[in-house]
Amino acid sequence: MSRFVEKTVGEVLEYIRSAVFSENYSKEKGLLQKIDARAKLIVILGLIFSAVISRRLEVFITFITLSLILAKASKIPVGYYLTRVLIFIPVFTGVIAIPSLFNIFQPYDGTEILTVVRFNQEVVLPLLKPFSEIAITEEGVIWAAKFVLRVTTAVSLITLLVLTTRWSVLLSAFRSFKLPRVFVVILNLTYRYIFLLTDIVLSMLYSKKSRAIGKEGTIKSWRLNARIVAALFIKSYDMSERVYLAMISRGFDGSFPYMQQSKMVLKDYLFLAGGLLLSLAGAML
Amino acid sequence: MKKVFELRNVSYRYPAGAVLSDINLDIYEGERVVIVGPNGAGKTTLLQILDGLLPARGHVKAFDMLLDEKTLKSDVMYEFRKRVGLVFQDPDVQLFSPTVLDDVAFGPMHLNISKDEVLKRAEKALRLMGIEDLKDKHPYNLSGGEKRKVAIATVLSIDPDVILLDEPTADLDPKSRRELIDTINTLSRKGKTIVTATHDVDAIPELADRVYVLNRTVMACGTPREIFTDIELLKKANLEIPQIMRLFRVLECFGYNCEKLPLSIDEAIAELTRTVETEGGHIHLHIHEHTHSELEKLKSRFDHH
Ligand SMILES: Nc1ncnc2c1ncn2[C@@H]1O[C@H](COP(=O)(O)OP(=O)(O)OP(=O)(O)O)[C@@H](O)[C@H]1O
Ligand SMILES: [Mg+2]
Repeated sequence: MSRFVEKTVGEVLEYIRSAVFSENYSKEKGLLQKIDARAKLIVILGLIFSAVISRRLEVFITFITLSLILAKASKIPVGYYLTRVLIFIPVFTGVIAIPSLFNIFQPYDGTEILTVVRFNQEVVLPLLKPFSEIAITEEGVIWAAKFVLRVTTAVSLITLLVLTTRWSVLLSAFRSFKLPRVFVVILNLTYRYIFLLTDIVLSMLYSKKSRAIGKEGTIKSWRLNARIVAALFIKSYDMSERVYLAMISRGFDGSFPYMQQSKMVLKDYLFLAGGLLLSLAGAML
Repeated sequence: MKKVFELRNVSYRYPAGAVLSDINLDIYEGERVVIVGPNGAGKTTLLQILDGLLPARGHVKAFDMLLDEKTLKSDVMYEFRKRVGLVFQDPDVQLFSPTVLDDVAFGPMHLNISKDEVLKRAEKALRLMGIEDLKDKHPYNLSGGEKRKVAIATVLSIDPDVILLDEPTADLDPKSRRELIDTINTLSRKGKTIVTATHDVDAIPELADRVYVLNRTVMACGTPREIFTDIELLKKANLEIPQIMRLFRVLECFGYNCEKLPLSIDEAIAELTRTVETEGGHIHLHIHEHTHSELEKLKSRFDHH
């Protein structure tokens, strides 16, 4: 069991790494790659905002379809795009969407469609209202479905942005909106740390594997894992300190000047206008 | 000669405990200095003090500027950073940009020079390290040696007068190691001051005009020859001698008469040429009555002094 978990953790980490850090498609010459990063950023954020406040299924479906079309037009293989979108959905939604299916976590009495367990007496638990059965409700299903769709829409859009824009260009787009420097710095360092952290975890997993001789008990193995996590905290703290010193050493003064700076042209403005109109329409519906 | 660094009674402690104490050290303009010492000796800490990153106790002077805690936090450090560059021991801490080029351009971009100039400098540094083809790659997915080269390029692009290198030859394959040593010496000939912390004793004769032996404090200071011929010191500091020197110690057991043990290939060539010329066109080696016992003694000394 624990072997299986470790293997899976390793695979997921490898996946996240390749997903977050490959910039292959940002160098293609597709539709979105040709649009100025600032225009792209505003439009994508606008659409996401619109999806977040909208209650209409049609809006979600339209936006998801639109992302697929844009992905295709930007030379991103649809299969690749979909897996990248879908891998993150369970992570983001599972914790919230699954409990919300059940009556016991809902503040109101819903229409039950499937009873999971029925108890002989009323169960009283802290934080929950008393209940005598656990069931899936219709309202719960609809709420969860909308929630998942909403998240899927947002993730589809953001994936599109990330896939078609180089990280450095995206950061300079953030900078050009006069966002506080510290925000952009933190964003960049977070990105860097995700990589270092996955790197550290992976190499620790591998080094553990290479040192583990024969079979070890589950408890022992988890104890070792706990130690790995502890070491990880210390390492990442230590690392962050040294990364900062290395930046200071090279004259870092809190600013992140960027080399790339381009002018918005007609097609960027057109894209911006179209995207904002669509966002507005989605939000109003 | 002008002094670049002057340290008097410098000490440093981490919250966990004292690391350096009573450090006295001078580094002159255009010099090549190596700092050598066992793991945990405080080499990295010392280089970070020289780079004005850690506030040490005592007298730390760089270019006639006293680096006390107040100065370290002030704007004058901006000038200092232009003139002194540190290549960290762990290249990972130096690489945080989306591409290798961005990383190499990071330093120059803080210099208030035009974008073209930044790019020119970055490309020159990449060329110097022979890694132009890595320029658009993610610094994260490089091999250990490639990362090391990029990390060095990120400092060279600033074009500092003083270059501090922490274990620069670690992770490098033999050819890259050779090239790096040559690059460092080329920079030195251009007038750069170069301070290297290293375990690589074979590189020391090639990288040092002067050597500081460090173990929490300065144990000795001298030319590579002075250091490597001081047997007591080698023992005390747990230092090995360069391979070439070992070979000539072995030759001595076979009756070779060597006034000055060569430390590097170049010196070995000179030494052998001299011997052949003065001793009638050949080198005489033989097994004499002490050869075996001397060899035994030598071997046990090499294995664990
Ligand atoms: N950030 C830190 N916090 C606490 N102690 C530290 C820190 N960095 C180093 N030390 C300790 O200070 C001592 C000297 O470390 P330093 O890294 O300067 O040694 P070094 O000579 O560079 O060693 P190595 O050859 O292994 O690189 C070590 O005992 C180490 O444990
Ligand atoms: Mg060190």
